[in-house]
Amino acid sequence: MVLLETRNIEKRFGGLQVLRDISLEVRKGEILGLIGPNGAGKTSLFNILTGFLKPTAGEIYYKGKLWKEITPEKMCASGIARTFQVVKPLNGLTVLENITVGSLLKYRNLRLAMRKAYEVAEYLDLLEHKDKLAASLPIGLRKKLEIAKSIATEPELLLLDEPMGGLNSGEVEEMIRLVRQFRDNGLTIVLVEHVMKAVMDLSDRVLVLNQGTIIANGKPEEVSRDPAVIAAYLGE
Amino acid sequence: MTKHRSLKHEFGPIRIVLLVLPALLALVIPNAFVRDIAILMMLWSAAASAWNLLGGFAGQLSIGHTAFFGIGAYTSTLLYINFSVSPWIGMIAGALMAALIGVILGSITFPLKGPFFSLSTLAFAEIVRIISISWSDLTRGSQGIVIKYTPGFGKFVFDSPVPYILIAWLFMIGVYGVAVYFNNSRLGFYLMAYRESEDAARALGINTVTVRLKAAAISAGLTAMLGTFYAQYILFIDPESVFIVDNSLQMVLLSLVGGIGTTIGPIIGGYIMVPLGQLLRSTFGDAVPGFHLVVYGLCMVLILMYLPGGIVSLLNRRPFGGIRLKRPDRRRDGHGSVGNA
Repeated sequence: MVLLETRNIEKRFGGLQVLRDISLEVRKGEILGLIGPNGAGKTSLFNILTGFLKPTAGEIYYKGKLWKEITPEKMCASGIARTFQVVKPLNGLTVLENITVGSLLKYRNLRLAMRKAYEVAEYLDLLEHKDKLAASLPIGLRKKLEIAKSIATEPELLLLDEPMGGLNSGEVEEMIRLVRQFRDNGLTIVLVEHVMKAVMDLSDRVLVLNQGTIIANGKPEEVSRDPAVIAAYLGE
Repeated sequence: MTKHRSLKHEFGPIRIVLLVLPALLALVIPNAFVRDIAILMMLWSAAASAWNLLGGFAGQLSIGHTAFFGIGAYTSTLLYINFSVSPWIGMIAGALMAALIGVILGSITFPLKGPFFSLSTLAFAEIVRIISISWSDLTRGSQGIVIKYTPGFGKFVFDSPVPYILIAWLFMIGVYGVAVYFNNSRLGFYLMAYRESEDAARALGINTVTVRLKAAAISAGLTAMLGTFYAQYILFIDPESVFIVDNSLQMVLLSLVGGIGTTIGPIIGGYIMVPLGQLLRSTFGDAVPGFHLVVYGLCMVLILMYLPGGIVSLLNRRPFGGIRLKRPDRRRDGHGSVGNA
């Protein structure tokens, strides 16, 4: 079943065309890797899918329904959560309070939301840090907190924007394990990532963006052998 | 599951003492000067706390709250002197009026960021002040309005300071209660999330405009009620007393000194700065003109330099001072279930 679909998405910033004719499908239960060189348009695409940017043209369908007037809060409320490449912790709040802000979406009662947040913290192994201020966390934990907040909204589709950026190899291993666990628990995941090992290990399918267009779409091993992809990464 | 927050803390023994002490002292000490200071102190503590609902929790630094204060004072007073409407009812009318104006103003100014938002609130308050001077058919302009001294509960005028002490105290406790609600509710969490990062808040499903409009309405409404109280206590209002920018700044400064974004901070700020200002004025006011303001400013600078989180950061040990008075709770009973299902 197709969960999210885009048809002919285009995005221009003035004269600069960053996305051209992007049509893609995200199927329920899969991990879709989204890769491409710097400036390929991955983050712009993410921002369009989550309502932070308006596409210049094109349509977005979620669960078979055309979405007009997309805003981030509407997307999140209907089950699409995202993380940011540059993490955005709520610095003045504790770890547990950060996660609680996420769980308040589904659980309006603060006490209940805190209990759910506690479960998420436990799940992501953040319990020992729960009373620390988000600002005081090292980058590895902040990346995790970023995911914890979005998981707490109990999404169906999770868009991860470079969750492994800046992590050491041990932390990358742990993150790979986590993402796989999310999928096993029924989440659909779109993963933008530069750490190739992670993308290749995790993805069921990989889309390659280059200069705003999709140049390859297939299984990780196929894509990694695709001459167009090799050319895009290494130059011709 | 843990007990992360509790009303026990917001109404713990230290808090209760802090909240009850000024009213108690004012009731026990039959000195007009002390009582006057206590009433003004509770009034401004409450006003700062009302401002803090929007300025502290949501980080929307309004410097135009005196407009709501004045709207409250003028609405109840005009209703009273023109139509003999009891100021108690006028107070509710003023609160609703201010809340409505707060929502309208918010929908216009909330897209503005940081200093641009603050300046727009300042401009708004100035516009209201100028209107209140110019529209003299309605407001009697700069001449001001005297409220006739006819004591009676329905008229919200009393011949003894005791009712004023009690009412000011109730207002202060009431606003504190609202702040505690903010600190322990979805609305408050959403406002704090917005304050910390608008993008993160939106990505977590928060309609940041709606939650801020709610806060603006509540904050403006409560501020207006305090304006009515002020009018009924002083029995005279004019644009220069209720619409002057000093009132707005007072609310900001008390919150900053006490601890912005906390429940008790703005109240503590009022406890310290209002009596200090009054005492300095009565001590130095005649001797060297303006000297009391120099000392007042100096005290404020020193507090903010050494306690950037406000006085409340003395009471808690959170590194950033006063986002909230809350001790990390280490008690754990039982375990949450694993998973996010």
